[in-house]
Amino acid sequence: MRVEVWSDVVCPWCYIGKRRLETALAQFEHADEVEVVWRSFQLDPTYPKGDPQPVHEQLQKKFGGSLAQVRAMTDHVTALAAEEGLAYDLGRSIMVNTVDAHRLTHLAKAHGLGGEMHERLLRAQLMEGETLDDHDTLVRLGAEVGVPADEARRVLAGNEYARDFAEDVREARALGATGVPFFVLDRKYGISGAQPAEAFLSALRTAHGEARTPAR
Amino acid sequence: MSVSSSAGGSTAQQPNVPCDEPPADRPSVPESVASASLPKVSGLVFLGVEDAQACSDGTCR
Repeated sequence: MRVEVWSDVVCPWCYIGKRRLETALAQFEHADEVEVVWRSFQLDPTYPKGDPQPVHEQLQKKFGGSLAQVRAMTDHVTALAAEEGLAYDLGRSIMVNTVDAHRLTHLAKAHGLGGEMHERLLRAQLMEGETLDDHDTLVRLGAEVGVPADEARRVLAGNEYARDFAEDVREARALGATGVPFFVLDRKYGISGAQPAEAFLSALRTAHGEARTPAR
Repeated sequence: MSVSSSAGGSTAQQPNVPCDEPPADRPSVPESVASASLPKVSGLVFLGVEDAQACSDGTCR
């Protein structure tokens, strides 16, 4: 069974959804038959490259109000992340254009490290205040999960994997995604959002039962 | 970054569409509806709690 997950590295719900899916997989009787494939999505394609800004300030610009009000807004998702064992520090998070982070993830996928890379980037963005459009930072984070630094540097300097990234985004929209995280099981069932682990487990069982039912 | 409901979806920005409303404006999400089927979209059958698909979570109108 194939579970495809569309996700963006600046998306706090995506990390929560990842954990909840993992919780479900840990309880799923046929987890050894499941392949999880991480796909790219960009929440804000208009965000300029090379203009990293604190996330809270960006939210304040959008909504107006005070920084305290913005913090109260992010406190909710931070509390839910904590329930999944994730110590978000969104006060340190930096908003960036995420195309290069996604291209690096595609390179990591070519090395069989897509899941590891996505996990590392989510942690860097949401918990560690890293700047994920900085190439030195991306090369370092890639190397931490096993992506050769020289390859990462070459890819980031050019435009490799831009087509793969664009294809992921196009496919997400074709499947009906308007936001992330967005989960697709065997191209038959969709789950939108970081739903409870029980919802993922139920969907996995439904999809698995379907796959085992002979076609008529 | 986007923030949204406890069902959890961050919604892509679209021109002229206000997004990322404060989570306090979100409706609560029903529990125990894990297996409820939702209408098909692009051939997919949606499972789980209805949320971001309908932008009902306060992230995108």
